[in-house]
Amino acid sequence: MNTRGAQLSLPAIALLIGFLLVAQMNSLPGIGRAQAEQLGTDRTTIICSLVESNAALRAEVEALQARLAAYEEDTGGGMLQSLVDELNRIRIVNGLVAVSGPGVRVVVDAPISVLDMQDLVNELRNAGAEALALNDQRLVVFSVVNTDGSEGLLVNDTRVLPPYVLSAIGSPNTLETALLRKGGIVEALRETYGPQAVRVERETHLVLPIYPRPVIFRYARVDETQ
Amino acid sequence: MALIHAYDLRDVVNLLWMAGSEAVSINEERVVASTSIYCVGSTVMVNDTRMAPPFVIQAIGDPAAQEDLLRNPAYLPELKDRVHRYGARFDIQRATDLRIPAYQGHFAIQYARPGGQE
Repeated sequence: MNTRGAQLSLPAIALLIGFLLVAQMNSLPGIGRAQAEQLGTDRTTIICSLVESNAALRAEVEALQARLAAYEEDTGGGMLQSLVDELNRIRIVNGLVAVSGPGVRVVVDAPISVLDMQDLVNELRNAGAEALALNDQRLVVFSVVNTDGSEGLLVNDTRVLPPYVLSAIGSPNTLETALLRKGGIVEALRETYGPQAVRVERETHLVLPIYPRPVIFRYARVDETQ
Repeated sequence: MALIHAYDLRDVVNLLWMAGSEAVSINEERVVASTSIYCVGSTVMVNDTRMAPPFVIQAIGDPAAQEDLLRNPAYLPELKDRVHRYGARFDIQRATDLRIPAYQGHFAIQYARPGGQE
């Protein structure tokens, strides 16, 4: 009987469990659905916003990449241009290329001394001459104005004779003013060699030749420590 | 009146180029194509830098060729005469490892264009 009683009690327990389960099941939809709905809304919202922000980020990434590419392209072009400009400056300054431009032409029709010619060149450099030539010899940093005691002057080891024609590319006004200033080089030369010895002419288009010889460095090395 | 003039320095530099020098500086100023050595009052201006004696001129090149020209009585006669008469120092020293500074300025090219034609 005991066993039967026990056997009978099993359905009861089962029923109880079933009831409890149902009760719980019944309670679930109320809370669960609400939660699920809420969750769904949140998720939808979150997912929507994530999708939106992902799209926005992707668009931003694309925009930034486009800008970066454009910037790199521009910088590359800018760098290349500045390198070309720098190369041209170096070529002009060192006489590695013929040059043209405005400036002054100084005609010295007198057998002036080496020092006077050096002073004249120095005056033009000081006044901002960008390129210089004496007769047909381009003057670069290595150029020497010299004499061997014979006629005329030696420039780049080439003999030049009066009238010396010194061509300087630069601001015609600045160059002319510097040359003709009171107490300046032209006045001094005219005092020494006569009032007709020096003539200064403004030019709108001078053409200066290339410095004809290659510069070979046998002793100087770039100092990497500086 | 300064014992050493701007033209003395120009003459020395000219002579150093004549001796085949490859790089020249006056004090800390590199001599470049646009360099002018200019007397400004009692100072000398090199590349827009004012300087006063002593002037230390450094030149990289063949030391023998450089020294030969510098010591040649035919060159720098005025400077050597003033040195002799007034006791200014004009020393020539050979060096095995000179360091010549880079040009600190800028080659501002506004008027000259490369190429002989338009």
